[in-house]
Amino acid sequence: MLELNCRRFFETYSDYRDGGLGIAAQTAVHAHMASCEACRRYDRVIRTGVSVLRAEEAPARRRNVRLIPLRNRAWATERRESMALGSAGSGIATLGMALVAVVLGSFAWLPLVGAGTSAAATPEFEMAPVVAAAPESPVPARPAVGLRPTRSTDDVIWPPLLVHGSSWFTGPNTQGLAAEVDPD
Amino acid sequence: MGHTSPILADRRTTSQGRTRLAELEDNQVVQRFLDGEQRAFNELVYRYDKRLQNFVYRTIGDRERAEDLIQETFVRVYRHIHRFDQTRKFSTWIYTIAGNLAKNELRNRSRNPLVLFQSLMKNWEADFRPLEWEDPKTRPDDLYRKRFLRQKVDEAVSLLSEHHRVVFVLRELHGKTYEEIAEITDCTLGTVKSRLNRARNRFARIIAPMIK
Repeated sequence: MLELNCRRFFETYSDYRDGGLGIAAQTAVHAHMASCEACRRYDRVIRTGVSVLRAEEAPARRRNVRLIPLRNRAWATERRESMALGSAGSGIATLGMALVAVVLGSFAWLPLVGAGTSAAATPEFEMAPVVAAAPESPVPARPAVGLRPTRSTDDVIWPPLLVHGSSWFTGPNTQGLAAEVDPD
Repeated sequence: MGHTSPILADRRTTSQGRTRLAELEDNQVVQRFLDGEQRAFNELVYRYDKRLQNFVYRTIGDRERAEDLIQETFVRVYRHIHRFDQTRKFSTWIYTIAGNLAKNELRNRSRNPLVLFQSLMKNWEADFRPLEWEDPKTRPDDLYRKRFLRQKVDEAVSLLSEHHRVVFVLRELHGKTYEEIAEITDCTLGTVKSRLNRARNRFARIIAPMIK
């Protein structure tokens, strides 16, 4: 049978306590403890100490004691994060807008800035005056399409899509579009 | 016969025919939560609240602060649960988060050392609480001895170095395997074993004078 001395006992004690020893080694530990008061006491001290610790553990609480403050905290964290993201997002958006404004502004100022340097190179054309003949008859009035100004809500003319239903628009005969002009 | 009685089946399932949350494995509860069942998170909180409370308290030695850290742990779990690798154990993951928070707390505390009012009060209670408030059926010397032993055992845990303490608490109080401890503390199996061995030796040496 395997025999242990005290030093070997201390080295294997953790494995023994955690159930990591084979049967032969376990028997050897038991045999050693049976014959050695110091090692037996060591085992007793560890077991007693741990059992005192375990007895002291916090009792279980009712579910809501933990859940309610936890939920509040989770909400608060989410809100804080989203606000931080929002402010970061708005900062980026503001910066982007400012950048676009600068670019557009610089484009707008480009002709004036360039006027001093390239004015001589710009060719100038003289256009012949355009002479228009006077119309022979007055311009005919165009028919109104869709909404037209009305005085009361009874006179509202609905757009064709609503008057004739959606099938009108999605139907195969989209030529009808031209025919849905206000009959007036 | 392998049939389940209808009554038992009823108790095991909800009205929608789904298995009750309390009877599921952790990872299945996580999956239910990810599927949109909000109550599943409550179940996780209920399962781990007490365990984490003891673990964090033993690690940092302050119950009030441990409360805060556990809340923070659950908030982190809630927010990052979609990142949890479901091939791993949920308990290891949640213990890792709590352990890291506890480690940070100890690090911060070592940078800004202060005497905690709670620890002063704890000692005050132990030293000056009148004996007549105790259970009259028990002998005062027994009570005194038990209280003294409890105090010494607590002290012994707090006297262990942080590395040894975490390993000791996870193994002795939470029954974690060496592999789980290695994952939670992010060290090798050999390190876990040697730390545990040293922690036990030191713990025994401190409390030995109090135990016959």
